[in-house]
Parts: sequence; structure tokens; C-alpha cells
Amino acid sequence: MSSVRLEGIAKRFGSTEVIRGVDLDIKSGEFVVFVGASGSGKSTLLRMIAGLEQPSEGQVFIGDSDVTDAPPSQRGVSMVFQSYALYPHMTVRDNIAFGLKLKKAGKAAIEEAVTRVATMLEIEGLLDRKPGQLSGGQRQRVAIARAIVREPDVFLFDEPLSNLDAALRTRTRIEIKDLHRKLQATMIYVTHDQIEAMSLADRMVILNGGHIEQVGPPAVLYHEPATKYVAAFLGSPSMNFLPPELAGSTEAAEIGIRPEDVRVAASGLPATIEEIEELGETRVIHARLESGDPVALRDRDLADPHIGQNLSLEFDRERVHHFDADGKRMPG
Amino acid sequence: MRGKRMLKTGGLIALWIVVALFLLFPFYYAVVSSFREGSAIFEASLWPANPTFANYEAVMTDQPFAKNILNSLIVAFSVVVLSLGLATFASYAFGRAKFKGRRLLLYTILGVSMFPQVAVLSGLFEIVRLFGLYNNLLSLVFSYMIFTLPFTVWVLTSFMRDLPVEIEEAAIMDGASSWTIVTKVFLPLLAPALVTTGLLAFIAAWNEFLFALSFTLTNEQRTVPVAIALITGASQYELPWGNIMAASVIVTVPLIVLVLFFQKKLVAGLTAGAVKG
Repeated sequence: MSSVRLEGIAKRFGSTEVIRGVDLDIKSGEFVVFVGASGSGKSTLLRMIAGLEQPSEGQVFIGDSDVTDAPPSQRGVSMVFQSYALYPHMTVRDNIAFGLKLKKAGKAAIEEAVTRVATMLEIEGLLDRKPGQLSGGQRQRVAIARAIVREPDVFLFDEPLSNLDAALRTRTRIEIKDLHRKLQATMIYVTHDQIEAMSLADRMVILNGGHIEQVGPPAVLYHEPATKYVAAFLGSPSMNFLPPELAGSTEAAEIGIRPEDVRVAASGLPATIEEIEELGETRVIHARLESGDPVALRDRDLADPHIGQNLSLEFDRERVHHFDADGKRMPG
Repeated sequence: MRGKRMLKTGGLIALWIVVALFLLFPFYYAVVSSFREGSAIFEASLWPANPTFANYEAVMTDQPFAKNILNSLIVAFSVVVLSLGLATFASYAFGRAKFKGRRLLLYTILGVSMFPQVAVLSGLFEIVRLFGLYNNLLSLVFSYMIFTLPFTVWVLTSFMRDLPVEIEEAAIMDGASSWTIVTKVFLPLLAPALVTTGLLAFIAAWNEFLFALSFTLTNEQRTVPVAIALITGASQYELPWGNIMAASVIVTVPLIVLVLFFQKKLVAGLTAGAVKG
């Protein structure tokens, strides 16, 4: 395992700048997730670490060595692709062994490594099959096995779960986390799914328009977002953004309050229910304040809410976020 | 209702029979004629009264026809191997690498195949003479690539383009060189396309007449189509139909065998890429 350091990374495709001025330190053994909307540059950043893309400016360090100009195979990284990218004409065994064979590893060593990795991922029974005969989840495991077998310093994952169905995704998510604990390896993971990002990450990197919006542990980003963008990006439904007067603020340009921090109270801001989403363990109520501003809230207690019903809403004062005119979060 | 459906099915079957007759009857008649001798060939019957192999014997003994077949096989196989080899690597460049003038080059290659054979014949003849390849099978291998390479390159390029980029990137991450990627990863995936284009190239080379006629002189260097065209009778007033038919049947059989053998892959190759999945 190795640390990864990005210094002043920029990437231009023709005249479009997709990454600008990215500095990032990833500690050895850390699980870092790049998350952002599509077009935020998260995949490009990962591909530059992999060596599949060359940065227009800046340097990539893996461990202590500058690998900016090194070919992918000499960086000590391996990658799991979104489409798994297994070699369709090879058996699972050959897929896993391909990299080792190119490295001219001995036959016995290859066999031993393949068996060990296959056992770890519980795919021993599939070694003689072709990828076409496997389910999506099994292909995913083979792709991960292929990445592990080379014993890389850094693992790169490019949206590896987005082709799986929801149940399998949740399960594989836990397995990847488990794998990280077992291997103690540095892992960099790209996703657009914020739940996936939050559940996996030691630290999250939120990208927006090619620059880093904020870096930090998921809970910190969730509870202390540095900018309005981060505040809005994390959490579903999204944070409510309201005029500052509603929270009695005079300095802020805008205030934000998460749906779970809005309560139905005996007295408070009057509102009318416009839509109800029943989610089972909770429900999301979309209401409109008298001022005309929409507010979403999580609620479990209302007896029989219906559209058009009038409510009084109260904000958890402690949890109100204040943003200045530039969208920066203000202390207090 | 049922009568109507039977009528429809019956009509369809009748249509198929007509189509099949139209396509197969000429070949059938060639086969039948090849078993007839002498004036029996001008009888208008569907079955030879006294089937004989005399025509076949005559074809093989009157001229070096076995040598001609061998020539054709050598030329056609060389053309297929060379065109597929060159086209595979060319298509990797065209389909995957980004370089200036790629489109121009692709269209130039396509443009080459647009000239009629006669138009390039005299120029090509000079080149063949220059390299001292006249009356040599190499001249045919060389000149046939003019028409086989453009379509093999084009077909394989479009296949190459459709191969997922991520597979190539996975191979790069695994430490594969461009050579390894093409030979170990892409070539097996291109197999259906290779079979299809290879077979078409084989047929084109097998059937080619004009170049083969112009660039060879002696009977021993001729390929089959020329040899057949030059089969002569006892006098200039006799056209030995029996021998010609026998020869035609002999040279058609390898093609049919090849197509049948590769049938499954052929269909896969012709339809692949049409539907995703």
C-alpha cells in the first residue's frame, strides 16, 4: 500500500478545462471516495491516477515516486471498471491470471495466487467458466479478483456497482468495505451515488466543475458543509434553502435546514402540505410556507397527513446552516 | 380462417421453391452436364442418361488442372492471410489510435477500391514487370490485395471501433503492450469478423480473372478461372462444354465446403454489431 498525492493537477481536452488546480493527499491505507455530479471530473481524476489519462499540468505521486509519466502497469495500481471489462474469450482463471502471465510470473506462483484470490472472493467454483456464463454480481467479483491478484499498492474503482441491481449493490458495498479492512490497502473509489460514497469513505472528496469543493469524513461533510453546493449535494431529500429572516438571521444571505431538522410543532411557521412520500420507516412531506417557500421535512408522527393540511413547522435552531452571498458557510 | 392460413403457407412455400430453383438450377445443370459425354450434352433432360466421369478425367489430363487448383489455393490463402494480418493492425490504428489525417487515410483506402480493374491494369502491369514478377504467382497475391485490403480494413475497423474501450484499458492496466492487446485480446474477439471478411477475400481471390489472365503466361502458372476460360476443344469450332462444366464443378466445391464449414461464424459476423448485446 502507498500514499497518493496530487499536486496542481489540471486537465484540458482541447479548450475545455475538465480539472483545474486539484491538490490532494491520500494517506496510505485510506479509503477515499470521489463523488460529484456527472461532468464534475471525478472519473478523469481517477484515470489520471491510473495513468490512462495524462494530466495537462501538475504531478501525480504514488508513494514517494513521481509517476506522472509512468505507464499504468508500472504505477502499482489496479482498476475495477464500471463495465467490469473482463476478457470475454478467456475463462475466469485466465482473466485473473492475465496480468501475472504478462509479468512472466511462474506457473506455480500464478496458480497459487489465482486460487488464493478466488477463495477470498468465493469464486473458486467459477474458475473454468467464461464471463458470458456469469451473473452481474459474479462478474463483479471476478473483476475485483483480477485487481487484487496483482497485489497493487493502490486500488482504483470506477463506479463498480452502478451496473448491479439495488439489493446486490448494497451487499457488494459491504463486501468492498470488508475487503478494504482485510487488505489494508489504499483505495480510491469513484461514484455519483452519495449513499455509496458516505457508507464507504474514510474521507470523501466532493468535486464540482473540475475542482475540489470539500474534502473530509462523511459525517463532517454532512453536518458541516463548507459550501452551499456540498450542503445541497449530500442528503436526500436535499437541504431546504430559505430566506434568512425565517431563522431570524440578519447576516446570512441564505439559511439551510435539512428535512430531518424540521419538526411539526404546536406553534411555528404556518405551512400547507403539498405532497407526501411514504417511505415506510419515515415519510417525506413537501410543504409550502406562507412566504411561498417550499420546505421538505421528514416526519413519522403525524397521524393521518393529507394534502392541503395546515401545519406549524419549527426548525432545530442548532442545526440551521448559514450561508453568505458567495455560498460559503458562515460559522455559528 | 384455416383455409386462408394454409393458402398463405402454401404460397410462401411455392415462392421459396421458385427462388431456390432460380438460384440453384444453373449450378444443378452444370453438375448434370459435367456427367454427360459428347453430344449427350445437348440433350434437354434433367438427368444424364449415361452418367460418366470422362469429362473430369479429360480436364485433369488434358491440362495441368491440378496445378491450377493448387495455384489458386496458394494465391487465395496468401491473399487472405496477408490481408487479414495487415488489416487487423491497420484497423487497430484506425479504430483506436487518434492521429491526424485518419479520416483522409481511411477514405483513400476506400478510394483505391473504386477504380475499375481495367483502369489500373496497365499501370499494375508495369509494376509487376518492374519487380520481375511477371508469370509469377506473387504478382497475383500482390495485385489482389488492391481489392481485398480496402474492404477488410473497413470492416475490421468498424468492428474494432465497437469493441469496448474498457477492455483495452483493462489490458493496459494489466501491463499489456499494443502488440499483446491486438493479438491476445482483440484478435479472438474479432474472430467472427475475421472469418467473414476472410471468406469474402478468399472468394474474390479465387474468382478473379482479369489480373490472373494478364499477369500469367504459362499453363503452369495459371489460376483456375483463367485455366477454365482457356480450355479448348479439338478444333477452334468446338467448345468443350463437358470439360468446362466439370472444371466449374471442381472449383465451386471448395467454396461451398468453406462456406458450410464456417456457416455459423459467418452469420455471427454478418449480423454482429447490428444489435447491441
